[in-house]
Amino acid sequence: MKSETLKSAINAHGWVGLVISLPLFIVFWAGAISFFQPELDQWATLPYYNIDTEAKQDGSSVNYNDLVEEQIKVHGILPGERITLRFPNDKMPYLKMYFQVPVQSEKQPEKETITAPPVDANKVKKKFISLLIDPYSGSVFTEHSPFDFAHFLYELHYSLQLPQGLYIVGIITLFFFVITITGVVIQLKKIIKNFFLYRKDQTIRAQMTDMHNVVGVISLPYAIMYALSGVILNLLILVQIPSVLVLYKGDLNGVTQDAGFYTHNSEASGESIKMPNLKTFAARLSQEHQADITQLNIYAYGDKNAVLQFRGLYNSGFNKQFSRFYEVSTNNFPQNMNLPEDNTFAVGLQMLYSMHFANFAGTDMRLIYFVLAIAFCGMIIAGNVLWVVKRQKKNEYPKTLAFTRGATLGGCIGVITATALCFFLERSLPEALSEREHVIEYVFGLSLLLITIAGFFVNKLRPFIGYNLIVSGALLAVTVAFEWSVLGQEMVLMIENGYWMIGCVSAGFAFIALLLLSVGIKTLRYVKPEELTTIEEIDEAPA
Amino acid sequence: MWSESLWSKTLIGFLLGFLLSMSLFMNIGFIVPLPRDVFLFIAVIGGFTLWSALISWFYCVHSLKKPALICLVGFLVTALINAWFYIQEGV
Repeated sequence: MKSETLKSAINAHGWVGLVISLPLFIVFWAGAISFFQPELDQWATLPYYNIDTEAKQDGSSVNYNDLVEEQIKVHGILPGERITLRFPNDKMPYLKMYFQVPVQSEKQPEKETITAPPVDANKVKKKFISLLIDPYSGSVFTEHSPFDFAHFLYELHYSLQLPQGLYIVGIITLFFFVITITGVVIQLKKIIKNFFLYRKDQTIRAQMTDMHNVVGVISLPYAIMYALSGVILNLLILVQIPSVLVLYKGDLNGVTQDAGFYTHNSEASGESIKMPNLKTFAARLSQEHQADITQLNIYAYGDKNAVLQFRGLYNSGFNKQFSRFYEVSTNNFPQNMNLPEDNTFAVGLQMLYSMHFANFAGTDMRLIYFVLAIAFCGMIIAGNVLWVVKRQKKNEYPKTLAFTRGATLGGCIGVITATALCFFLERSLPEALSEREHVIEYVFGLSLLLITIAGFFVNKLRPFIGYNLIVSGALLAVTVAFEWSVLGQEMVLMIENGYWMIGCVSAGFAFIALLLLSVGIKTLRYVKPEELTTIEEIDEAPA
Repeated sequence: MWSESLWSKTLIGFLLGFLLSMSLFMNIGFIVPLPRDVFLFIAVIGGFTLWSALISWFYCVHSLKKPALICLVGFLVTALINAWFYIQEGV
């Protein structure tokens, strides 16, 4: 390889990596935590909403039809609207219900009925409602989402909570793919020779370089899978536009059908119809198809145009998705809605998505994914430190360096501290606090901003990183201490009743707290005599 | 020089990479008799990979003139092929 090619590749790898480092770090960090979103949801919610009531002991369970009809009346759900039921499972013991309601109908909810004249649902201003329901008694625990931090992190992962964030993250992921390729170009000659090279007795810079390279090379297949599946998830619509325009001559339905997807457009007719028993129907389908049905989408409940979509997973195959549309008025599963299941595009994409979300296997696989994602976060920080230290030593562009340090290192480290702080708030803030979920989100944003700003003014990288890690570890330790001292009785009761996940999450937090504290303390203390000059030079260099 | 700056490599690589990869896979869609679902899957995987590889190529050269010229010519040729098939099918 020409030295000029290598030089250009290193230059581009460094700069592009630096520019995308903060959003990429947030994407990986939030994504790593999101592998355990169901467990974190359960951990946050269970002590507050007890589902081990008399109804469970009596063996009763909610009638879905009655529940849906009641909510249509209470909330004034428009006749053509979609209602989603997510059934309880081992990861989430509650029944969840989602729908949209017109904002103005809240004032006169009792006037709405399930056979009301059709209203153009698209022209009405709506708000999204999410209900958390006891699957045994049917009582609604909450109509908002006070424990939403895990979901906030998931949204942060794919959209950074920004307008048009989906596309922004898509483009960042595309450039992540690019720096993966340029990284391979840089390492190509040494990829075998230096495969496990880690010079622990060398300078910090050599260690950082080795860490960056070792993680990058070992996790290369993982990085390629993530880059490709991530960019497809976020930018698929964008690249389909030319195909739709040229190959399909503007026929959007044609390309959707060829891709093996069907989207139902719900519209109410105004004529009512008797609905089948939803629970019995789901159980029968589950048995017939050997599938685990996890979700039911109901379109135009009680209307002649009512359609039910049962979704879930087959019990065999590689995380094979199950989906059936049922038309109530004709009592069948129409072919135009239920497309062939052997569609290469749909199956291939589902396989990629399963690999992306690591939901094709058990907790052990998610733990491996989690460790790899955190290793990636470490790799990003190592890359940034390398970039900053190299230029700081040369005293190049002090203002640019200060900005870079704040916007990259400050931001990346700030995400860790902000996350730990918000987990503490998720556990400690009262459930009844108004706008609880938004308070936590604002605290996350504000603390991230403050630590990022602090990063602009900090010359000494090592203490900045070390103290942030110590604070993060301490916050998680306080979270664990708080939950056992204040909610200990409820937690013990839950664990005894079989909801042991709550204890596992708590133990996980305690372990991560110890890990952060130990890494933080080592970061502050670990200075070898031969490095002292270098570090002091680095630390004392003007910002 | 603008042709050596990372900004120009990024912008031109991003744009020409997108155009060429999309256009090339549309050629495959018109020419190769593949089932539509198979083609769509290959196009999505191949399109994004080629796009990223082309941007990387821009980054790995000292001046962007050579990759820009090759991508531009490649895009023009493949776009002409697409236009020909588009008109043929429309008739």
